[in-house]
Amino acid sequence: MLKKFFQVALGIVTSVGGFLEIGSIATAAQAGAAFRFELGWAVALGTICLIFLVEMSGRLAAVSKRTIAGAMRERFGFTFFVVPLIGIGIVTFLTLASEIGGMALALQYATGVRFQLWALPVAFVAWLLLWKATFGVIEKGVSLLGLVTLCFLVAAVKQHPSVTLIAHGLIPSIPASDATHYWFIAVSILGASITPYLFLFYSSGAIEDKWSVKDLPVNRFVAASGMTFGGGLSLAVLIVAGAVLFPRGISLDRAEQLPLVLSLSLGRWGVALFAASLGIACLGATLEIGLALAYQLAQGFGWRWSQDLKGSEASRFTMVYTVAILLAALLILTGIDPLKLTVLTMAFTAASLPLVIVPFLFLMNDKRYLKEHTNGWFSNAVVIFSIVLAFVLAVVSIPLELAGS
Amino acid sequence: MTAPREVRVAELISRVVTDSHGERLGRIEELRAEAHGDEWTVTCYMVGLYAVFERLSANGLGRSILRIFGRRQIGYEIPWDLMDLSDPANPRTTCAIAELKPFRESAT
Amino acid sequence: MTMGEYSPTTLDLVRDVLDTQMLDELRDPMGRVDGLVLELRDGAPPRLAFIEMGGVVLARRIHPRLGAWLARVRGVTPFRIPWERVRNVGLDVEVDICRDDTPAMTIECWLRDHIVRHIPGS
Repeated sequence: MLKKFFQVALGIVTSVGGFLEIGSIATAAQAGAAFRFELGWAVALGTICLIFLVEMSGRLAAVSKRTIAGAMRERFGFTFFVVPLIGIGIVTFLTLASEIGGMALALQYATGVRFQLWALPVAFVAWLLLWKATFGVIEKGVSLLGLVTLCFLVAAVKQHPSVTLIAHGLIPSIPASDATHYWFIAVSILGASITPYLFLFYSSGAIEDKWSVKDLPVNRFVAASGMTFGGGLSLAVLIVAGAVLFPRGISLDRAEQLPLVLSLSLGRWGVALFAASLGIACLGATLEIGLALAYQLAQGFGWRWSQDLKGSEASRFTMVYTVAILLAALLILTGIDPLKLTVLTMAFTAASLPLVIVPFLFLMNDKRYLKEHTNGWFSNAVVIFSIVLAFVLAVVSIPLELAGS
Repeated sequence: MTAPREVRVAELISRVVTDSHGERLGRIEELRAEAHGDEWTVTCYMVGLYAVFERLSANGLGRSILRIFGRRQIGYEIPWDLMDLSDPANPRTTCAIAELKPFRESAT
Repeated sequence: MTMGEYSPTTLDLVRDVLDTQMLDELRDPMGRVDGLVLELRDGAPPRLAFIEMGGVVLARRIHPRLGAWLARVRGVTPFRIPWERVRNVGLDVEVDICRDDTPAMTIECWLRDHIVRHIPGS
């Protein structure tokens, strides 16, 4: 009984670590700075959609005993499977580069040394952790350290923001001005919340933990509470930015400005806390994405992929995350602005969601895989609505934003 | 002794099947095989819209979508001895469409 | 192939066999059924002859020219497992094969010997 409790607690904490990373921090901060609390609904919608997707991912694994990647190849055939594999692979790779950029930025805030110079060192640290540490150590270590991100919650509460205004922002509204930017940020928030690697990774974890039908209630609880916690933290970032940056007219288009979110609200410790939060959150995300990419490939091609991988599978597995991390670090080394890369990648993620979620929904309604646990109409509706919205907004706003900047 | 003639299942799937008069039946979507003694042999080919439905009809969402498009649910189950695979890229039945057993969507 | 007591008597090749996970003689994952080869015979039904595995097989499914090009580059014939070696088809396809012979393991060994071995601490 106690063991179950710890398992659940760990699941929640891990979910938090997976949720909050540079994508959600940057997009929420920009949203708050530009539109105060008006984009709260995007965070809420993204979180709700993610809760459903994570729950589905766990349910698929528990009932069909297959991971999402494995089930997708089996159900649709290799020729079709290649399309989401490559599409999501590219978007996930860009996210990986963004996270490495995030770690590098965190060190720039802490030390003043340019982020490019940190790209290879932080990538190396992440790689070393994947190479040397066991999965359990990584998961627990990063999750516990990730609790430093609670400082955003503290900062939000300290501002005594108007609850009425926040509630108002939780209801979608048409912006008074700057519509292009508004919808672009909304799309980026959706892409930052509904990250494919997160729920793909979750199904791997469920298989690894040998979940079965009796774990379905636990699955629902972990999905709901973990993602809500993470979404709540994103909302906290948005609130702090809205309370502190919006009144001052600071719009956060330069990466150097990001720490203002906490330095203006928490004073002396603000910059240090921001750097620590960003750095640790991005480290956790880097590790998770590295593993997720390796799992995807392994599951798609039918190799052994267990979490603590030594022995005869290790070389292929190792090469996948090694190459991915190296290429991502090189991308940051080119000096590309990590903030712009992040926000744009999040928008592209939103645009690419149908590639993986449409087949995923077909799976979730297939009695052969889910038996009597197929999706109810409500789950289908929420997910379809969210991704249609995300896709349409992305297709419209990305070109406009790129043209305008 | 000549080398055995081989065909890959992946290359057969989605090939359009025509009947002996050249009339189009649909695409090969599935092959059913059975054990006979020591070997497994193909007993029939599932062709046409039925077979697509087979894959989707296990699927409540699939069925609702297909109903929206209002397709007539006809496909064929073609026994192995009525299928001519001498040109695997263009499978043909050895009989006319009228002699084949059609399939309608089952009530599962 | 002699299948166990609870094995199926009919198989849907696309649904149940193609792209399904394969397990070796020790029930360890060893890849997926990348291809399935039928032997055509006059006057007899087509016989399940081989399971095929490997990148060339997959490339050919995407496009025959891609497969042909990769075959020329790799210079190997596709790895085949006689259907008689299949022990059971359920959630996974279980075969009486040692995984060391599969093409994926060849890549694994190459990577291990040429790259991973040189990383300190391996």
